[in-house]
Amino acid sequence: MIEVKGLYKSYGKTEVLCDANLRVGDGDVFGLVGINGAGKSTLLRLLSGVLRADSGQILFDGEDVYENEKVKKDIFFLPDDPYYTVNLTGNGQAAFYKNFYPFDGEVFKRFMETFRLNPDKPIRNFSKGMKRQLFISLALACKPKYLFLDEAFDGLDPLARLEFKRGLIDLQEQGSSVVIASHSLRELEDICDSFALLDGHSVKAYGKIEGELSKLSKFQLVFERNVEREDLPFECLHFEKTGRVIRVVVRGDAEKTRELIASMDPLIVDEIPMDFEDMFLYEVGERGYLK
Amino acid sequence: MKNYFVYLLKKYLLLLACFALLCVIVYVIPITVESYTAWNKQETTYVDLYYSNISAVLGVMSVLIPIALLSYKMSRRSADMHYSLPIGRRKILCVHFLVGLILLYASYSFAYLWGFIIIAATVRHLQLIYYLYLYLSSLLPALVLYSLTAFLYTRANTMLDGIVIVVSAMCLLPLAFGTTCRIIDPHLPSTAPSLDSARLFPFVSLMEATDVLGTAAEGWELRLWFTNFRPDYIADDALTLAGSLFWLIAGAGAAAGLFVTEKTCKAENCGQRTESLFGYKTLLPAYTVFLTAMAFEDAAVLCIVAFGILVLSVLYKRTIKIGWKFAAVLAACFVAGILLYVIPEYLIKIPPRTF
Repeated sequence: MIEVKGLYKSYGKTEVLCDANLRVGDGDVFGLVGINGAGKSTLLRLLSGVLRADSGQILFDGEDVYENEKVKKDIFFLPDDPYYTVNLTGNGQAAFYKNFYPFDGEVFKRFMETFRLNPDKPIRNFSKGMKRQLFISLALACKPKYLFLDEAFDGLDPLARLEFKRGLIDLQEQGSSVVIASHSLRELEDICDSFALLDGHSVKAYGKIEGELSKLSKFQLVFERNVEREDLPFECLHFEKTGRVIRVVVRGDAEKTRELIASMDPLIVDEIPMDFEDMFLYEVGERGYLK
Repeated sequence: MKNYFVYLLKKYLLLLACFALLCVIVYVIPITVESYTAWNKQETTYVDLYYSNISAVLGVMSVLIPIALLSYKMSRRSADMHYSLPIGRRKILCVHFLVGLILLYASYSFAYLWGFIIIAATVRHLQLIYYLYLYLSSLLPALVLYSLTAFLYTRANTMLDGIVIVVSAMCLLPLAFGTTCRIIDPHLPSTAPSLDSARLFPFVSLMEATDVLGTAAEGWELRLWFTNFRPDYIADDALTLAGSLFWLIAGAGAAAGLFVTEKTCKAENCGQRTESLFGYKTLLPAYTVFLTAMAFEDAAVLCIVAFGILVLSVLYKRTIKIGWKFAAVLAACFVAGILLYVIPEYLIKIPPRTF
């Protein structure tokens, strides 16, 4: 289990994380979402022991991660732009990781074949997506207990994404926890059990995706009369009006909201299913981002 | 750690081969030609061992190898990979440091041994035991220069800053001494020895200390070396000795500092502006003082110096706006440089030397 308690991190005078708290359970696939600059990559670098926190704790089964070889043996961090030396091949990079992890050559070979990559070709000749596929193969072959992926789906084609998600599910079945920072919210919704929303230097929301989605309801309403936001007898997370058609997102008890809407005599009431992307857009949108 | 050490050693085999080849080209080939010619002519007189060639390559390698091996600390991508591995930072540094040292010593020793065999087989009058002493005594200066470079280079956050800091820090002492000598020299009696500040470069001062062994190895009797010794060299030799001692202590301190500071190094600084006290922050003001004093007599050179300082300031701050605080520090150093020139000229009442 990963526990993050009261985490603070600044780069000079720039505060990046301020009192961040979250918990990732064993075997969880955990999505880390947030706008650009929210601190997702910094949090992953802190979790993988690259950075030292200014204060607070990052505990893996009760042990601090920074400069702790025992804990880091179970961690594999795949950054958004992984490092490789000029003439290194896929097999060369695999030989590098073999020095540190219980590397499964069969898994690596299988993924390289699936992605149709030549492991003897220099990595520098690979396209962005192919590099991503190579490093995903390496990460999965290392079979870490904790896998941290930054911008995991970036550059991957739909088929590669599918294979990658299958690989992650296999890893999860073996008891590994995966933390993925990504802007591909639909992909995260497919594979993640839990999520954390980073905003304003802190974790603004975290929990089970299903649970959080059930707290929000989205309705499309048509009224005979003109209705404005302040006319509604409930607080809206989001209000959008096109002519007489109103779209609202409401946090809280959906049944109670339905009753309140019914009391306003609408002509039409449609309840629209919410997805993870909607939730992100409304949560972050309400905080005034990109006005 | 052991696995990584072997991996890294294998990875740098090609570099080792390149350095060994370089040593062979500059040392073994000339020495082979010289020895073969001497052997053919049945000469028993002095034969040039071309030791300065290989010691120069040793010096260059002692700077280049740590730069190559420790560059993993200079970019965010590389730091992310290395620091997330299940191995402590000091251990990574230790592996890279040791592998670099092996590359340095192996390529040097290979060429030296090859040269030794050729010399032993062809040159009759050579005192081989001194040749062995010379080899052993050259390993320490290389280690000192290697450690200094490693320490200074890792104070920087980018490769370019690292190279600038290594070069400028090693030139600072000779520059300071040379400037001071140049300023006070006209006020000293003509009998005062003229000192060569080049002897204060770390590798030069350390290698000069082994010079006597080279002379002995080349077949000169040490007794003759002492007989030919000129008393007016005493001051220069004292300077060499002082320089050697200084750099030996600095080298030991650098090696210790390298490992002590490693655990607290901040990965977020990789690729960022270099703010170390061993970097631009100290070097630029120091250079401003001494270069101003050195160039004060010549307005054109002074302009070039000012331009150079400005370029380095922009390199440091990564913007043309170097800030009022830093500009004020440089201006104060400029004034200090002028004072350094003016004080002996006008305030010390020593009559200038007449020619």
